[in-house]
Amino acid sequence: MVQQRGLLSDPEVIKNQFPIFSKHPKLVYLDNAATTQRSQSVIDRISNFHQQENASIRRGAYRLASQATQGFEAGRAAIANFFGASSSECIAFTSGTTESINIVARSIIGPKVKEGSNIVVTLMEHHANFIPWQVLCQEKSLELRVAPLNDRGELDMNKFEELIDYRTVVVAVTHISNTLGTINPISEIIQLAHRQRASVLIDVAQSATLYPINVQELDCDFLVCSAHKMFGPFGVGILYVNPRHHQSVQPYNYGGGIIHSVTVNKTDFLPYPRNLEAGTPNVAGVIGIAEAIRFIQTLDRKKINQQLHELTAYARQQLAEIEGLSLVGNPNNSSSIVSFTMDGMHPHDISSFLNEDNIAVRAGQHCTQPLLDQLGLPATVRASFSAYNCLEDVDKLVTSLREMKSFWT
Amino acid sequence: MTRDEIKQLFKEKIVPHQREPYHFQLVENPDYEVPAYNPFCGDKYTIQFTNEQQAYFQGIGCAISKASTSLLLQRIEGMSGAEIIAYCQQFLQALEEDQPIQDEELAVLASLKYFDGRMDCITLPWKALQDYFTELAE
Repeated sequence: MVQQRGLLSDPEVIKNQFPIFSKHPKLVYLDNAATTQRSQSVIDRISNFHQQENASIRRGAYRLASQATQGFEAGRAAIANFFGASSSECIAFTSGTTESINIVARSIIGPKVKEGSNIVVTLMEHHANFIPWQVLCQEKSLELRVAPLNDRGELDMNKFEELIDYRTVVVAVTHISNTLGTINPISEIIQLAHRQRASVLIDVAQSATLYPINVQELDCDFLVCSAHKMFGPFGVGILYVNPRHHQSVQPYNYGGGIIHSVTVNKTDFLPYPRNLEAGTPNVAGVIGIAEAIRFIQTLDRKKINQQLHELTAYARQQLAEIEGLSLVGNPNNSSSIVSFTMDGMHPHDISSFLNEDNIAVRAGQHCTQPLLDQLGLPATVRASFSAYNCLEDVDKLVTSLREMKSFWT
Repeated sequence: MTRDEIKQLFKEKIVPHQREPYHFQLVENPDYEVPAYNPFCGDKYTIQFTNEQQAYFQGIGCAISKASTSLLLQRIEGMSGAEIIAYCQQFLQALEEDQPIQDEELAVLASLKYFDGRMDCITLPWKALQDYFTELAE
């Protein structure tokens, strides 16, 4: 594959952009599904804002406030452009993916649902894309339909299709399973849902960084993700709302910054997205995610995805050769997330011993308890790779697991 | 103690309790049944006390929480509720404040707190019993 001029794809070169690896040269960071590391450019940008540009946005008639407002709104435009939205006005900033989904459930879907309707989710959803819908269904007497998986950990698309009917108000589905690594066919899902006039929310928390996503081509209704899984800072979430729903968005929190006028008797609110951004927003965070987007745009994502595909296939193959190790899920279309268990060793103990070799993985239920219940597993070990991971990282993981196994037994 | 020494002690003193935990079974009609659950990691045990003052447990969890429960139950059989509260409090305080622990096996258990993020695994059954019997006494 020809590398696009000037774009980065070499994991070592990319790794050099992340100061955490200078501070911890032995660190093998395999917890990217939980949070990615921050690039030097993002850290510097946020630091510069605090040191040289800090002011609250919108209401200050002075230079710093004006510049901060411009920076904040430029961040909105950068996000809109990154996801191919028709306008900046489609993007609202939240505290994270979780809040973005809660807003869709409570401030867009909730107010207009009728009793007897249903909501379709999948068994592989993160709790953040499961519980808000479960609670809404309980409150509004709706039916929650949970799409099952096949033995490989993929959505059973025939059964999925059967669950969506004319009474389905929303289909909420993750692009990539944060536990199994499965990549879901979101275009097909959106088409199936729209055929029944159901709205679709796509959780791209695990895919937004490296997979090209165009909301207009997908024609999704809602798209959600978090800055901190995109080399950006904690505490900033992104919510895309398709223009056809803008009129339906009601305020989520009440307070300053979202109002058109207030009297002692009545408040008129600004339209979406401003009616969701009550209070002083996370200005530094938004400026940070805008810088992260700039950084991502220096990456050759196509080539990195191919490298990560090969790296993950190698990891799956090497891990599967360890006696007593079982991979959890074996999807045909897999991202750079691998879950596994080992006979006689609990995932938390495995994680602790990997930590002794400077290998950072996640152990637990990964906020997907319904999925793990179905699989009959109390927990898994999860290794998740990003643009700065290389084959050597996989080798270190496998070597450490083999040594651990012989130590333990 | 070096980290390698801690790992070695883990192997010698903790892993056997994970493999063959003390009284790892449930009995019918226990006098007391205490849940020990950590929703953040999913470790979940049921601890029982019989009228013969024996303690049993069963459930799912990591080596550290399982060994911790095994070691704890071996030591509190025959104690009253008040004695169990005091015993758990004493260990939890020693753990928190890095006080020396005379009991060799418990000292090894306490040393495992130097494994990052594993404190809750050690304390799970101790806090569960302390809370349960404290509530019972109120």
